[in-house]
Amino acid sequence: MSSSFSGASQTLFTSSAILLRLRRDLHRLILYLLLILAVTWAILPLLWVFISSIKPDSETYAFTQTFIPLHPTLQNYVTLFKVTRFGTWMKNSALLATETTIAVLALSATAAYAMSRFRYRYFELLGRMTLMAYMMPPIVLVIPLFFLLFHMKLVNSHIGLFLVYTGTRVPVGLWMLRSYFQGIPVALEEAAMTDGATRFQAFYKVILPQAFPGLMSTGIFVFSVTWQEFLFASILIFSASKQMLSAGVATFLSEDWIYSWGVLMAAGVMISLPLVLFYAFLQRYLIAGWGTGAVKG
Amino acid sequence: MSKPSVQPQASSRFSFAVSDFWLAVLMVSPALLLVLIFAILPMIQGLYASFFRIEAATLKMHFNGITNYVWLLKKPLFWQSLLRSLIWVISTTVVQFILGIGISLLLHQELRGRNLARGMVLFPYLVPAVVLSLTWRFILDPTMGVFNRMLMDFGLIHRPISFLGNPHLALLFVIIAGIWKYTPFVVLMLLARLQVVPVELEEAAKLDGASGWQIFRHITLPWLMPVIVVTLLLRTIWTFRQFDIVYLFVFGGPLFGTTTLPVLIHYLAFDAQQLGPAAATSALMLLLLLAVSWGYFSWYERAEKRLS
Repeated sequence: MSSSFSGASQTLFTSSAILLRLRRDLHRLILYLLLILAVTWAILPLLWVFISSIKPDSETYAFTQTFIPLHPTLQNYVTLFKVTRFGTWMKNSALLATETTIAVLALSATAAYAMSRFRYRYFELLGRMTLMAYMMPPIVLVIPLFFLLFHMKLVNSHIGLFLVYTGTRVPVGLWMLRSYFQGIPVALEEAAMTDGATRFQAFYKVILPQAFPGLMSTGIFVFSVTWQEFLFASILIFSASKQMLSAGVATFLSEDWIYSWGVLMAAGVMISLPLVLFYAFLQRYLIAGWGTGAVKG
Repeated sequence: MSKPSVQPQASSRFSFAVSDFWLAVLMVSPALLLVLIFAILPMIQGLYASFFRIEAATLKMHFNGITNYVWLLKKPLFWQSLLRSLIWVISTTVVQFILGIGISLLLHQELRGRNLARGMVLFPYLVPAVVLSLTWRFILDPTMGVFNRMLMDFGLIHRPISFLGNPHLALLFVIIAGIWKYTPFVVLMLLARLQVVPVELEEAAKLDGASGWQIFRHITLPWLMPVIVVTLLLRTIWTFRQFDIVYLFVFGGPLFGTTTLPVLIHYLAFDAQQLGPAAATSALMLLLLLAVSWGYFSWYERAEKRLS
């Protein structure tokens, strides 16, 4: 009697243990399903863009669509570069984004260093001003900027656009780098200066190498936003041959003649490519940049 | 903002005090000058221009007081755009945060393939506005878009729908695209904060028999709160001023269905050639931005105080 009772409680115990484990497994299963759902939601649209860019028109426009291309081809990319001005725009954007990045880094590194090392009252004011400039919506700036460039006779010129890009990106650079410099101990330059280096030499030879990761994330951030910039380019540039990438590709959308989805998808892949490469290889810097650029700004 | 830990006066030991000042000025001036000319002055000029009638062809300005503002406030299009801006900002940020909090908690669990999943979930944030518009236009295309095909295959609809041809649906899909692109940003910010949640607190609560929800509600959430507030502020401002995504999606159409305030400014200035009213809209937008940031900053200070 008693043995059968304990046997019953044994089975009861094990079955509740099984139930518990089942519940835990079910819980994990749901978590994995949610994880798969989140990843699918994030990358499926992009995957579809890439897949469609390597499909021939016959498959893109077919009634039944396949997920895997039956006859993968680079024809869309060839058309994109041969028939449209995409190549020119890409060159313009690459050039201007590089120039802007270099200028912003040079200007904001020197200014951010001075602001982090010397404490004068009006530097505080300066900090506030740059923050305000950073918060300013581009759409609010673009009309006055058009006026300004118009009077400087710099409308429809890369020099004008370069100045605008640099002027509007310097506040971000300042915010990102200032907090970075504040984290570098002053003892480092003091040591260099007791060894006979001037203040500027100490900055240039001792501090800048220390700040490399900060410069890197700021640089990648500035390059990425300039590479894909649309609004300023679309207003301040009007010759097709001088246009930038995003503004150039946007003209495809308002002109029906090139409504070939395969070619448009190839354009999408090409614009995203440098950003994806940065992300794949320099993720560490990039995420640090998003974080600081965002929190401080 | 954190104060520099080191006293700059320390450098006076090197008797560089005077030259330091001029060096500092020299180092700051070029950056300052550019910011002044290309960001601060244009803003002031824009505010100033809102009180003028501006000839679109010659850019000549004639003072006309508050006429632009009166004209604007009488236009239903202005109020509709303001309403759409509010709908766009509130719905995208709210859903972003619900999804973002969920996904970041999910990615914080010890699951296999977590790092790979983290990397991939952040992908949409990389997508440039013009590519975002290309992607969604392609997916939603009435004749060959995959979304219509899917709905038809499942028998949910019988003939393709022109999603971007309907003002309400177009706005809905701009909102969905906005959520898609910016949820990763929320995830990124929250994941960073989750790494530093005091584990002892959570474990103590677990020992005391607290349920998962109670732990989230009383420990994790308060700990996340300051970051949530900052991120909410950033997302609200950035979504409110967002031009590229909304404009490129359907160029503000159809029937102004996706015209938010920034798109309205663009329309007034470059399509309707009404530069004065465009400047007035900009000024009102700045005013709203200021009010929102002020509200959030006081909320943030309270959230920080509650933690300590």
